Amino acid sequence: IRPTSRSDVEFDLPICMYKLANIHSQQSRRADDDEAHQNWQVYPEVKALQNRQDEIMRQLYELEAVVSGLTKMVNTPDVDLDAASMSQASVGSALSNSLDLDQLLRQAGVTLGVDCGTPRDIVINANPAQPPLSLLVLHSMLCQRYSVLSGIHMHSSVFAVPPELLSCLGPPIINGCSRQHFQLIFTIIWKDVPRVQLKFNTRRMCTVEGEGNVARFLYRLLLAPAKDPALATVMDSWVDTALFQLAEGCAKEQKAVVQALNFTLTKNLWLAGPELSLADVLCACWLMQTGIAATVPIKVHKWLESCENSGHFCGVYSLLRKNHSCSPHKTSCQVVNDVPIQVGHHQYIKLVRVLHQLGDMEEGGPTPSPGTMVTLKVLSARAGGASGVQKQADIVKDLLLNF
Amino acid sequence: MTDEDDFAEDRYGVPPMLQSQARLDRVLVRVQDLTAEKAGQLLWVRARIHTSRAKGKQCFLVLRQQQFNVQALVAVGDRASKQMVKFAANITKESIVDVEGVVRKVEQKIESCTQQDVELHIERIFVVSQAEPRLPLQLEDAVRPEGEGDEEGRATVNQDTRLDNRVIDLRTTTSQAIFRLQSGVCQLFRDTLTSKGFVEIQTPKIISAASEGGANVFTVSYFKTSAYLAQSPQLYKQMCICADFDKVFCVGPVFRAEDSNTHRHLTEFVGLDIEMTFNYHYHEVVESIADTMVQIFKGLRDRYEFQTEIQTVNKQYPSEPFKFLEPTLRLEYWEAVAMLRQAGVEMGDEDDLSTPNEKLLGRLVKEKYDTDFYVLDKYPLAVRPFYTMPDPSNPKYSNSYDMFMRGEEILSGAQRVHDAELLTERALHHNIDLEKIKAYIDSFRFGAPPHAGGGIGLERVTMLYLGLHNVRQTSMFPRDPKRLTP
Repeated sequence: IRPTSRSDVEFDLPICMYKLANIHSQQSRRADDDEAHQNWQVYPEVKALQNRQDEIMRQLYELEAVVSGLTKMVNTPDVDLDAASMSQASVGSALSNSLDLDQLLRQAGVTLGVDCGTPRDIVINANPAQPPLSLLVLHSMLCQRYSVLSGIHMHSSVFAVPPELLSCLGPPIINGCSRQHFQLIFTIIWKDVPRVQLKFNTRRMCTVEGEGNVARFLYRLLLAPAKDPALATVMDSWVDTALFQLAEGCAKEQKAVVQALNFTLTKNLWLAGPELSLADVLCACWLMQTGIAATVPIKVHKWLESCENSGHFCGVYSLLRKNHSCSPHKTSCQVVNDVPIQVGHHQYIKLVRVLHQLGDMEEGGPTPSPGTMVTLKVLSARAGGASGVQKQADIVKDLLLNF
Repeated sequence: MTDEDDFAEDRYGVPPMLQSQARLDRVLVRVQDLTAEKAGQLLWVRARIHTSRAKGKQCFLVLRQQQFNVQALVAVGDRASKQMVKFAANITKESIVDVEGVVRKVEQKIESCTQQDVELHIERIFVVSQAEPRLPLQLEDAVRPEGEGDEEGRATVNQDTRLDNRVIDLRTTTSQAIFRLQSGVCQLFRDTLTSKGFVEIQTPKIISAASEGGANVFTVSYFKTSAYLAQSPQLYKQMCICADFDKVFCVGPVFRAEDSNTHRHLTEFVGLDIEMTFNYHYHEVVESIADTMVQIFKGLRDRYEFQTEIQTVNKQYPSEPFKFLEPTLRLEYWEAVAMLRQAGVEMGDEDDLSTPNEKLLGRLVKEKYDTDFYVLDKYPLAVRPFYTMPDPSNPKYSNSYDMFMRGEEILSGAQRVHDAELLTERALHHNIDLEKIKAYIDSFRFGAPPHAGGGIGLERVTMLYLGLHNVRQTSMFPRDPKRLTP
């Protein structure tokens, strides 16, 4: 059969799918090519755009230079200091930070609504049976930074509060000044609550609960968040250690914390960073509240002294000194013994009646406020002098159940 | 059955009307004192028949005395005859009876009575004052909560019926509790102020000029001329201050001819007014008044007898317990405006607070501070009376304050202008005829100390403390634009 095509026919097979002009050769030609230059001038918008872009970049570079200059100035109060040698985590002394309160609050994620002129009124609800001493330290630090109007109230859910708790924020300001003249209003309400609560802007914020979270919020008003995540983590870790292991842990856990503190303070003056921080405040306060501060190693002891010397722990020490007669393991209980047990109001009335019926009251009988104090002394006697909130609570429950 | 079978005929009946014919040496025991300790004792009790129910040879009665009641039994036996049981069953409700009976312990608690551990076995029963058979309202209906009435189809009594038959309505346990508590408020007010060194004064209620100005004043004919019923004791309190009494208070009626038919307005109410001098700042007075209120609240909270009253009221009118702070929270007007604006209210810096805004503000304050009682200080001058002292640092504001309970205003007060010239200037600014207040201004011409004060309404404070919704519930015989009786 004769073939349909000859085998020696040459085919011009394509080697390129799409043919395009060489753009590189076009560009180099354009730069030298008058015609190409003329084309460029046909699109002035492109040129204008390029010019604008250049201008913006120039301004940005200038701004960057200004900001870095300012940063250096702020972070280096002493011009002879080399800023490069400073730790990146140190954003400056807490008390010399120039960021204003509103900015700090925004950074803390709080929308103030300051445009409405809303007062910056921080309300803290705390149980007088377990006063959050760390907040008193933070209050002192805030007072050094801002003009603060402090106030303490006793809520109707509580029948009596020791006088020292009613004056724990220092003497009241009695000069008739308007509340408008203060940058911050700091209010503590002693109330029958299970945990410390902070209310700030109830329209835009939920309640902050727990001493640790409240302390973190208040600390944010003093300092911008640490830029070094490692340092921030260390600080948070110590805060959690103070609240979970020191405050709520058994003796073994507390001992372990003291050892950890001793180890850390062997190498550093403070627990997190070059100066007193939230970690030091919480650990020191809970160390003192648990009563084991008297038996700590020398380094921890020196660190506690440094805390005291900072000047912000005066309120805490004066509160704790009121209970100096107690043995260490009863210290926290002694604070509780001086305040009423937090029963519900109707239970309280019933309890007073029950104790009347038992004839188990001191001479003179109860009157509303002293009656509560008498009740507690009676309970202590019944418990055989046993200490502890739990023991007293059990006795109260037992009395209410059986009568 | 013939009368000669009635061996107990001298043990029951309707004796002649008690006209003090003779003074019996007889002790009447209070129902609240009928407890298990008196078991076995034969004693006399005077009480009302609350209910009676005959069952065969027995008749069960519930005897009521104010807020206490006890079950009583008349049973045929050697002390009571059939006729006596029938007589007892036919005594009309609300009649007052004298009964002699033996207190007996019961095995099972009588839940429906206040005296649950005992009952009275009657041996003698006499009707001291008989009630007509048809009562205008039933007491058990009058104490029934509204919701329960709607749900179970049982009758409740509306407010107008209660007020028209106030004598019967006041016998209910709830009304007894409300007015005993109100008496406590007044007593605590007096005791607290007396302990602070205040002197109680009595001021005239028939006066020659309107106290507060305006048209809300009742006119009375006074011989050949006219006089007015005092809108407040303001003028006389201040005159007492100028007369060196230092700290005064008064408790007395206040008359306001305001045609407001609201849940919180009366044309006549009991005013508790305070006025005192201060040394350097009117906040000394604000703190004193606020502390007085707090002592009242604490007294109501802590005293056992008031606890019973509050629980009784709450059974029919449930409400949240009243919360307060000590010392009292004091906010400033600009803060209130800011809080309201943040909540979406549009208002100017110097606008007065409307009633809805006051209520909203109360909720916002409760949300943040968890208190039902607070002071709002530094009101705008433009919305206050002419005798209010302006704020020295800002002439748009004043040294005046209101106090609120559950979001409703209970007290309006201020530092008063104690200088005759400034007072004249302020009166002219308010376009007040100086001739009409000449005597008032003259009071300040001979050395007047700086002073401040305020006044509260007893009925309103009681209503708000208990969480009730109408001031007529806390006014014994209320007066409003539509009611002049009983």
